[in-house]
Amino acid sequence: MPSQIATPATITEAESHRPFYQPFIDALTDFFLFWGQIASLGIETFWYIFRGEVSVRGTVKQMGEVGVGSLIVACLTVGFSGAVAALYLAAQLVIYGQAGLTGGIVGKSLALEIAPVITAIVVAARSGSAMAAELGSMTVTEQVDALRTMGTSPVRYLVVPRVMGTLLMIPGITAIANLAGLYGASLTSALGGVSRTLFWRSFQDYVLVSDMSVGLIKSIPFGILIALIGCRQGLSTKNGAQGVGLATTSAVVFGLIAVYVVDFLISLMIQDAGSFLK
Amino acid sequence: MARLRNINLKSRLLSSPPVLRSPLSRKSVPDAAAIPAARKVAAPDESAAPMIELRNVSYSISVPGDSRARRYILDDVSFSIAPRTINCIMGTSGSGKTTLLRLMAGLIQPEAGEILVFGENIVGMKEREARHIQRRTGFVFQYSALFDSLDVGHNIGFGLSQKPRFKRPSSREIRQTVARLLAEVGLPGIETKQPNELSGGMKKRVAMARALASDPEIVYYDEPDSGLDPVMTSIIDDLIVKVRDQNGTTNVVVTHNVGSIWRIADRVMMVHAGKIVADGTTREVEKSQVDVVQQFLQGRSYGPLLAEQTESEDEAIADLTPEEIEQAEIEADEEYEDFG
Repeated sequence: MPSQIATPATITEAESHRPFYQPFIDALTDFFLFWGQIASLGIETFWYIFRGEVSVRGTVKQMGEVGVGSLIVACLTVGFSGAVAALYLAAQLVIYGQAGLTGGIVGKSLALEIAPVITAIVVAARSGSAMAAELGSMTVTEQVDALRTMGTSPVRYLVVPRVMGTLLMIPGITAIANLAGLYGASLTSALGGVSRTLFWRSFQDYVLVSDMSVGLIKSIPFGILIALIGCRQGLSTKNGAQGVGLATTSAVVFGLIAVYVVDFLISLMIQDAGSFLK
Repeated sequence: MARLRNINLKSRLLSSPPVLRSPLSRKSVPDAAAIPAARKVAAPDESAAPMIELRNVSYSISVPGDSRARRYILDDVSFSIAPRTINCIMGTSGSGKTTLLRLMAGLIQPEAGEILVFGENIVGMKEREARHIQRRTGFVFQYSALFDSLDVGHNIGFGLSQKPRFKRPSSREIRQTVARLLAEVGLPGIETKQPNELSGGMKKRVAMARALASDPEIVYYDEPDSGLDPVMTSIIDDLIVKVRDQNGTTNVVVTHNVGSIWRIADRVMMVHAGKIVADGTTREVEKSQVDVVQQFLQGRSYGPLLAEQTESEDEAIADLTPEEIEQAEIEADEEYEDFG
């Protein structure tokens, strides 16, 4: 009598009864797991960066990818945002006899908020999604596993150049986009009744170098977060082509949320520091 | 009720292993002696310390939608692998054989047990610590997993170029190694081609060359013949044996190609339901009395049907008249022919 293997191919542990609040607990666990993984990936990435294990060729390539992909779009979006802000503001300020404040208010808004945030959104949509798609595709086709089997860290080879490329490029893109925004604002403020000369004089009077610096410094954590989230979503991709699509979408969504939350926190810190210094 | 009983009986008969019920299912097991052996020198040193050892390894995955439930893919698996041998792991799709290979390669961690590679337990080892072990092994993936962004030459030389500085060969040496390996796998002069320009068989051979570039002591093959025609399968088989003979590598090959197994294996293991249900030489496995092994070798269906068999079905069969049983047997035969 031949022996039989009657066990099923998979064995499930004891029947589990899910309490009604289990989905909330699962969602909360997933939330902390996600941000924990981002933190862990960030620590590992900067461990390699501080050890100097950075591929110069890879970083330059990624700088090109981020720059070429995002610069023109960032300039266009920030340029038009500046133009619209100036258009509305100039018309209102002229009514109240404060036309001389237009350049200062628009300039500060652009430097502190509009340019860094909109540039970060563009980079998240353009480069963060591309990173998630590329790494996701590599993950589902086992190329990331192939790296591991050759004793190469996927974080060092794939994540470090992307984080470095983004954090080096994003302040530059923000600065250029800021200039585009100011140019757009100077053009449209005239339509609202504020001359270009008055606009630039107001800008010089009210906008400080520190305002411009804060915007540029703020863009660095945005860039790091966008790259880390894009890479994390890519490296944790499952379920083939559908998974790559999901990873790409979620990289943009989580990237945008992270940018706004961090923007709020940094703004809060800057305000607190300003009050403290006073 | 009678209809349900009849369906159960048909299931039972379809899954019943001892009697071959259809001419289509009478496909004979390939005779090990009848297949020309590809190996030339087979001198596995069984007495030497094992290159790989698994001790009570279990691996489970979470069940989607229920974070607390676990599904076991491997359940308390233990075996060891001797140096310079070709070890084939066979089993149906989803039986856990690729999981076993990935565990050995350190790509995933088991839930319980120990995995010793070169005598070092890789379970719980950090990725950074496991790197020196992984650099002594090679892995040929099922779908080749060549890097899309690199040409063939850079794909093969990748492992060498990523070695620590003091161990890294010069660019010239890497180029020479790449050229030599491409010649060995029968694809000389394609260094500058992109992976998307290659056929499936060429990709597999390039993947083999890449896995061998760093002169590994262990090579893992995940279904090296999947999607390949019989001629290319035979070429890959010959290459696996050639690599073992020339380099003295220890090889673990996951496949469900019985012909390949019979051609190259020094030892065969079969994974089923998370367990090793057969383990031995091709001759020994061929004579195995385990149903699922025979069914696998003959290419007959098994598994869920066998598992779903219940006592009530047994009773239902016992209640049937001889005429009803005969009718059910005829229907089962017809179903086999439909499958064929």
